[in-house]
Amino acid sequence: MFRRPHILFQPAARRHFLRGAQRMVAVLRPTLGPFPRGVLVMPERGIGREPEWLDSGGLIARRMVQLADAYADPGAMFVRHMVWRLHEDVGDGTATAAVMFLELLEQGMRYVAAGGDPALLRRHLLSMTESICAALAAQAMPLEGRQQMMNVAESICSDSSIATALGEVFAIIGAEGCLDVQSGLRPGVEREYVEGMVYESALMSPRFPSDDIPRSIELERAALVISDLEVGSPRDILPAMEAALAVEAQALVLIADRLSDEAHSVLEVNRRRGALPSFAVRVPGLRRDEQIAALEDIAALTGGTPLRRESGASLAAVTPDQLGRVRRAWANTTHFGLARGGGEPRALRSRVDALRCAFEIVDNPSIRRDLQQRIGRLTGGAAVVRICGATAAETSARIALTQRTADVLRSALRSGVAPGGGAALLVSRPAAPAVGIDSAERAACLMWRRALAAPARVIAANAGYDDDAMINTLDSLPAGYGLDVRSGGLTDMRCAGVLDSVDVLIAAVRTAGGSAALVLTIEAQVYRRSPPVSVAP
Amino acid sequence: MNEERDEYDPVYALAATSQGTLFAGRRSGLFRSGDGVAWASLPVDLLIGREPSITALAGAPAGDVVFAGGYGCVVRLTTGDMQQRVSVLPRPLPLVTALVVSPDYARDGVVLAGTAEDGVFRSTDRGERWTPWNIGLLDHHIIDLAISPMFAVDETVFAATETGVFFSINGGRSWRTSAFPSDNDPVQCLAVSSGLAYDVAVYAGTESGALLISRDQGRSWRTATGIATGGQPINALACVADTTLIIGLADRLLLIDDVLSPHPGVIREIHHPGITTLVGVAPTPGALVAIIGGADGRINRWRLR
Repeated sequence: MFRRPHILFQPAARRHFLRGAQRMVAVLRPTLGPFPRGVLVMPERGIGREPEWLDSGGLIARRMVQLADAYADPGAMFVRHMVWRLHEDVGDGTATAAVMFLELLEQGMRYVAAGGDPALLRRHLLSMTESICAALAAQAMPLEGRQQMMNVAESICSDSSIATALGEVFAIIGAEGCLDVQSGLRPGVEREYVEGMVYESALMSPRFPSDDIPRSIELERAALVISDLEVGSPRDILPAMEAALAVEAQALVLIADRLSDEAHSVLEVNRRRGALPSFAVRVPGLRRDEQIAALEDIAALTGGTPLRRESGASLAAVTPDQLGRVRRAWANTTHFGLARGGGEPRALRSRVDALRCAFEIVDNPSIRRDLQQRIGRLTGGAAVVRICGATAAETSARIALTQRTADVLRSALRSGVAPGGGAALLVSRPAAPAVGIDSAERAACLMWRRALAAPARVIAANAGYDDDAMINTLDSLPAGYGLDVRSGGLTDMRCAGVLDSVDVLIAAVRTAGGSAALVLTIEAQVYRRSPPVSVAP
Repeated sequence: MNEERDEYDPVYALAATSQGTLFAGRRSGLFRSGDGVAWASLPVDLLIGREPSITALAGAPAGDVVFAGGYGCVVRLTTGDMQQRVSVLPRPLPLVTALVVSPDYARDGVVLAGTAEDGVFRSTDRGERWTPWNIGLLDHHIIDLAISPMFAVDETVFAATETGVFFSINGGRSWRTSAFPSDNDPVQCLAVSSGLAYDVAVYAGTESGALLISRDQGRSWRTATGIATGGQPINALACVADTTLIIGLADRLLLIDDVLSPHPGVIREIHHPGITTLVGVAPTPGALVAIIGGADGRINRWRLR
């Protein structure tokens, strides 16, 4: 708290900012490496809440909402937001980015304090960032096989049971497959594979359900009405049933926005009589665009035609050729699924290809996630991983860890992997050329060379090694060699299976470089009387 | 040339065991022969009514086990004592169109079944229980399957479908699309070189008569040059040595040598209408015999070398 708002100019502002950043990075530093040391965080408010043991840089940063030292607080909060954003975007690499950022900041501030031009330094730092990212991308190799995936997963989550499960799951479903992480009933980690297209949409039931209405139904050789219509009259159901019988379907699945109790009872009576077993499910998705996409995807899989209310479609006018066909359909109180659709395979392949192209073009993470889920559904496979811990808190923490690890594995499957343990970053040092034309370029080069060695240095120090001696030794070894902390030896990290996602490394380098370049150009710092507590994110 | 005639009784599949016993799957059921000349019917209790058709056959590479597939079920047959074990596939009951047995069957017990509408089923307990594994398989109409001779190491399987070839590198649990030319032409048959580990050759015959070759374990394909099929559908393929291929066209049989070279040589060409399936056997070292099944119900035996 300050008595009044005031402004601090350089060099004092720089000094205080650096102190805050150092404090925050010191908290994140222990989490770097395959055996991360934890940070115990006391709850902010409330009585009886347990302290949290955290080893994720992103989560630790999120818990640090304010420093007692108000002058140093802006530096710490800057690192907090930088790290949290990286955690949100790629799910890993937070401690790596933090230690590189601090190294760049310390060296850069020395250069600026000695009279260097911060604007010129910023320009060189940013241009070298891109060269380093290109050097990292050049080291990418495909992530293939269950063992490699398990190794990468273990380096992210440091939990062998989660790593084993995710290694197996991703070896089967690949980067595009759907993964649902749920809490389980039995202790440990379980996985299950679900065939076909699965949506979170429940069986429709009448307003006053009776006990004999099943909670789960499975049908064979079913015809599908793919619609977002509101079905009010029982008479509207009959043409759909006749159309299903006309195509010699053995069952009927009705996808609709709403079904009246009367219409529902027609389906129920037919189901009980065994005339035409059927069920109705609500059109999947909450948003309108999600619903339209789901209807179109189901139509592509099953070979039907979506009946949309905007186009004036009506269930009473449904024809046999508008029905989709599926070999197996099931629904329960939470999900429904379609397996082995009768759609034209060429059309299905074209649709999947179009979605893959869109995925490559789009940058928005939320749209990319939606596209990836749609591709996963159309390619016909989903995995469910169930986690159960000793307490509810442990279960939810492990579910979050599993989801984060899965996200990073997905990105590693797409972008490839590079030698881990900081080895890929060490190899990228020549991308920042040693001789520059001006002093700012030389400074930027030296800053990046030290920053790229910082993660390997911290990993060695965290494992109890002399970090200076370790870096000197690594410099004398071939490219790609590093310290395998698990075995305690210096080894070829690719052969040892110590791998990092290239996407994560590039994101960490971009975050550290971009943030340091920005901070070095700060000339003054404005302090408010009551510094706000960082609650968002 | 010898033949077995039966009107309206097409031959769907042929298989040879490592001991030299031959099996034929026909509309009328399963047949067995010691020499490819005299065939005897083997009554198989398929459990499920309809026809007793055997539409797919595969023999374990070592040992005396043969798998036969039909409508909704797979039969495991021990050729020594002729014991049969019938396993029903999960509902809705599929029509089995192709079977492959792991080269390491004695250890892993893996058998895969391709079906007409339901994709691929996998068994890891010698054909007792079957599970559908169709992740990534965008076309569930399986026409043929082929398995890598190095399956124990590379877990690679290939599936021919109406829209091209899919391959799996995890033992048939998930599938990837091949970069396939000829506008997703239906692929009728597949063959894998026994030297896949070093020459990495997989062959695919299409409905339009194109022979395609992959040298990168099914990831990409090129059309073989210098083999005149006259646009006739390639209905059957058998790779008998690393680079010797028997091609069963709709109207004739071709024996091709050095198939991977730019100018492969056609060693023999035999007029034979209506080939549906074939198998190559070597009764003595250096000899090569083709057993050919036809749509007209004939099973012919041709000595090619």
